[in-house]
Amino acid sequence: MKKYFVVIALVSVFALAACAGIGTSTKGLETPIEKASMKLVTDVKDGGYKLISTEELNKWITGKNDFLLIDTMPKEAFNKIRIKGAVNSPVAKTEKEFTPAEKDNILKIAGSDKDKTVVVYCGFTACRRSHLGAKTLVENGFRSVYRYPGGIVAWNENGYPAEGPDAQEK
Amino acid sequence: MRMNYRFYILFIVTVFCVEILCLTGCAVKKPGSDDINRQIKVFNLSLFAPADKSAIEGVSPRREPCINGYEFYYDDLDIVASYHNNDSIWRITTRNKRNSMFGISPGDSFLQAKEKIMQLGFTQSYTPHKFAKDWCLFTLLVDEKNDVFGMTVEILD
Repeated sequence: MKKYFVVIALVSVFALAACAGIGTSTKGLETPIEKASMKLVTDVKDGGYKLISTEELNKWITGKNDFLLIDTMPKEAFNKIRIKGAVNSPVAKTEKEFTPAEKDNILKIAGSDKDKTVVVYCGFTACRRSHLGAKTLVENGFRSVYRYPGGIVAWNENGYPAEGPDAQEK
Repeated sequence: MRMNYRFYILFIVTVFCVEILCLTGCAVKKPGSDDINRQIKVFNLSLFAPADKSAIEGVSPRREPCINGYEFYYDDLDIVASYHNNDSIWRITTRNKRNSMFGISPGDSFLQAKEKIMQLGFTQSYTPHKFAKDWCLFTLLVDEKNDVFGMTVEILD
């Protein structure tokens, strides 16, 4: 009877762990990491912008560097969590879904000073919203554009200052 | 001894029930979901449906990660199904003119589409092209001519 009980308990734990999403592609499996890396390299070449790491961005923020931080996630996601001080300009995930309104909006938010440093981010490395946003800025004459590929997931993982109900305190 | 046996039986039944609830609960439908799904005509896709890797009209999906789980891109059909980690659909995107959502198809004018969706009780939300009703968020992808070229329906958390 006890053996049966233990088996049931173990099956329960494994099933619930599976339901919770352990082992999904954004959690560290090598193949998606390679895929995201390859895409990132291609996108950086295509976009003409520079990259900034989580640590470097944190240094910029704590050092009160003068730059504009744009979050390209949908408004509803931005409302839940964003890097402290970021402004929202939603951008589609793919070129095909990128609307003229989204393009106009990010240019409007970036403003008229083309020498201003702008950092664009989205969800995580494989997410391409920040690529499309950064590329749009470069194409429209902005000379100091950075993409922060780790996005809000990496930022939150490191416990750096975030705002919104989903922000975790460390 | 008899008490212990009853306790074990009760415990096992409880664990089993909780298990079933948790596993199927990942895909628990929200009120009115059947009505919403009836108005989504994107091949065989519907919100809350379990993951299905099979091809649609001979097009196999390409899997991509997403912040909330993963997505299946059916590139040749211009559709995307987004899944939570619990393997149920939480968002459907289409740019396919053969599809419709709430009677709206790619190619319709934004103003007509807006009128249709607002007549169904949706209200403008977040941006001029997004409309929400209870747990459902509907987004129109609008081009420079102010025509709809795609749309997304999703479950709000």
